Amino acid sequence: MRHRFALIITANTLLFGQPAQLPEVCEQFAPDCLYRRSTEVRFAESSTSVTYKDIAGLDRAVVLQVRVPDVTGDALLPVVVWSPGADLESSVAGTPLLRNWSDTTAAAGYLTVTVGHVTRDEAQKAALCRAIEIPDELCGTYDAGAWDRAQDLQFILQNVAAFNESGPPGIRGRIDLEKVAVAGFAAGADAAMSSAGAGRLLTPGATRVAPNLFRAEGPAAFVFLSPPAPGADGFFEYDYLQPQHSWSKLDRPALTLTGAGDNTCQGFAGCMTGATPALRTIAFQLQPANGKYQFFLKPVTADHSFLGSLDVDDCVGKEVEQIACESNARYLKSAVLAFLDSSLGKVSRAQLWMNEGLIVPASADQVAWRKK
Amino acid sequence: MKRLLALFATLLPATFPQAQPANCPGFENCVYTPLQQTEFAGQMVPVTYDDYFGLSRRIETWVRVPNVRTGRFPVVIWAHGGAEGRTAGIPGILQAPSDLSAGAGYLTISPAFRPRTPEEREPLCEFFEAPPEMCAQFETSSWDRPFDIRAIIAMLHRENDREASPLYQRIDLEKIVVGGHSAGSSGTLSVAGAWRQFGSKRIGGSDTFEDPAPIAFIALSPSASGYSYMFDTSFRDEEHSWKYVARPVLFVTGAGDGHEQQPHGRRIGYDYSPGYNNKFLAWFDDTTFSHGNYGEEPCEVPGEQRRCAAFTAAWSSVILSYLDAFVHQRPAAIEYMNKGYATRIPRGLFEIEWTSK
Repeated sequence: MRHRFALIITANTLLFGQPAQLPEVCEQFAPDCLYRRSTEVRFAESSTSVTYKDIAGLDRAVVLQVRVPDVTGDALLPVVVWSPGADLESSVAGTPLLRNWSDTTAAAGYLTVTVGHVTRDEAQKAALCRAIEIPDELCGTYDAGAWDRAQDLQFILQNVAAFNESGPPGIRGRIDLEKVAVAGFAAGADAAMSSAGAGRLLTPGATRVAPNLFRAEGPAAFVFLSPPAPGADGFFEYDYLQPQHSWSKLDRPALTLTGAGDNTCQGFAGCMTGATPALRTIAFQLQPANGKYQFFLKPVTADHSFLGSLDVDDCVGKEVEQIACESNARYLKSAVLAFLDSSLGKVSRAQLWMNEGLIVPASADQVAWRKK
Repeated sequence: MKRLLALFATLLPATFPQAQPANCPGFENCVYTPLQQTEFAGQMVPVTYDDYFGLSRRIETWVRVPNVRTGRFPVVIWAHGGAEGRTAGIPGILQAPSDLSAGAGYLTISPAFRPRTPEEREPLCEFFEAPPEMCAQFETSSWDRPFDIRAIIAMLHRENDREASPLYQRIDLEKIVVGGHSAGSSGTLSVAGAWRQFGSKRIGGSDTFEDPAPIAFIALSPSASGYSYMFDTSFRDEEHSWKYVARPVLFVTGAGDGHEQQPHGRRIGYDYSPGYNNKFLAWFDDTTFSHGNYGEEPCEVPGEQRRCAAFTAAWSSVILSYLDAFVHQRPAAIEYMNKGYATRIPRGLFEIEWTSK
């Protein structure tokens, strides 16, 4: 990247008390070099559900929270399908899932579908265990959600064309089938990775050579917020005489986002559950090159939940300065929108922002940016 | 040692009968030959000290003394891994690296980190407020290793000063290196200044684990954050285990180095350690080489003799060149490291990433 520095007065000036030097290219992204849409659109919200036959032969209903941008004309709408984390499952029937992220992509003109992965009852879980050959004695502790999220997404993504043909009036005929992205947070990032082609070991019969696959061919790009560490949730990396890993088939563009505060480890000796920030970066390291980006927030002012919620009030409530909370949210939104516009919309301005790594100067080096 | 180097010399050309000689001027087959090559003799030496809680602790070590009649010995202390610990000071403890350094003229000490008895566990578990079920599973060697190493360093000072000692005035106390494998790397890095987290308590620094004496460290198969009591940054907490590891460290690991952890996780210590032009990483990008191969187990994969020979030559070369560079400031060793000659040893059989900061 060529750095032709020019003095631009930005919000960073106010933040750090001295003028920030931004590359000249940032003039296209005034005032602060962050990527944003010039206008935001209004959108209509609705909720519906779809039902499909799961692997156990049961009818499985999945909640879809749909935001349709108020875009006039005949232009087809690009789509973002969001998959929330496990801790949000219980709120499927109530509050909106991944509200801030879903609002953000809808306001940017993306038909936004946020998936409520409904938790199974005991009978449904037992049926799933039988179908995927989980022994009875292990079924009680088996994470059925890991299977269901991936399976739900696969069903939805395989049926985008059908929804476009026979969906509700606001959707019917409006979907740009070439411009579908999948985004997920935490356990939802696991599912999004499955859609992208990541192999996982979720059943006794799965092996490194023949892992569980939930790949969906339709999506053109993927966003992984707080990705998994290998060794957790069925993801695996190399090992002795084992030259396979989960991410070898991720051949489409992907943006991975995590940060120094994204630590969920619990346990006396370390990570009995959860993952460290550094372990979360391995998923990016192992993805094949070409259209892959990693956003790593260096300050420890954003915890795991913030990456999914973007909830500034909650962040401030955790004794982080408001300006830091707001900045972190802006950085995250900017990167995700630039990635979507770049990889789906082929927006040259977005591609420029991504390729130049302008999040680095825009964040005053608070974000480490890698691309390959 | 001489036998080992002779083996490389014979195996490596045969390994690549059609290949042109690798271009490493001054280093045959790109293998590093140490400043000294010598025979050595070994014996068990016990070390006793009062532990952190005032209990007398005795461990056994195996000490290899190079057959060099004059001058002072530089020292390498090798810390073995294994959560269960070991009890007897015998030659087999981390034998491969121990033979390597002793054969290169380094007084080499290989301790057996004895696990605590149930009675000895009690004060430790009380200190950590560990509930009984956790106390029973607590890997006490993880706590004791750094203290044991510090006790060995203190013993070296005593032996160097004790007129009746066979090592009287023979130890170069300014040239002590500590190396370790697996959990032994965690102990090694603790001596270098790494902090550990046991439950809610963080331990580290000169009051506990850190010792100012060693001038350099080697971490073979180091642990990732989240393992072996090594910790990462977290929300509103910028601390991590490696933040204060200021002295030189050589990290050695690779794609086959799993063993209940993630191979790429074992790179984290290098990534997180502050770089002062004194941190080095050798990454063997091949799954043929196991966790044990990076420590004390010879590489003996059926049908992979060529790979194993190249691995062993490269593994030995990065360790020996690092030792000679930081202990003796030997120009040839420094050149070998700076030019990354070890990466040329496999000559297409596999890749070695050599990086520094």
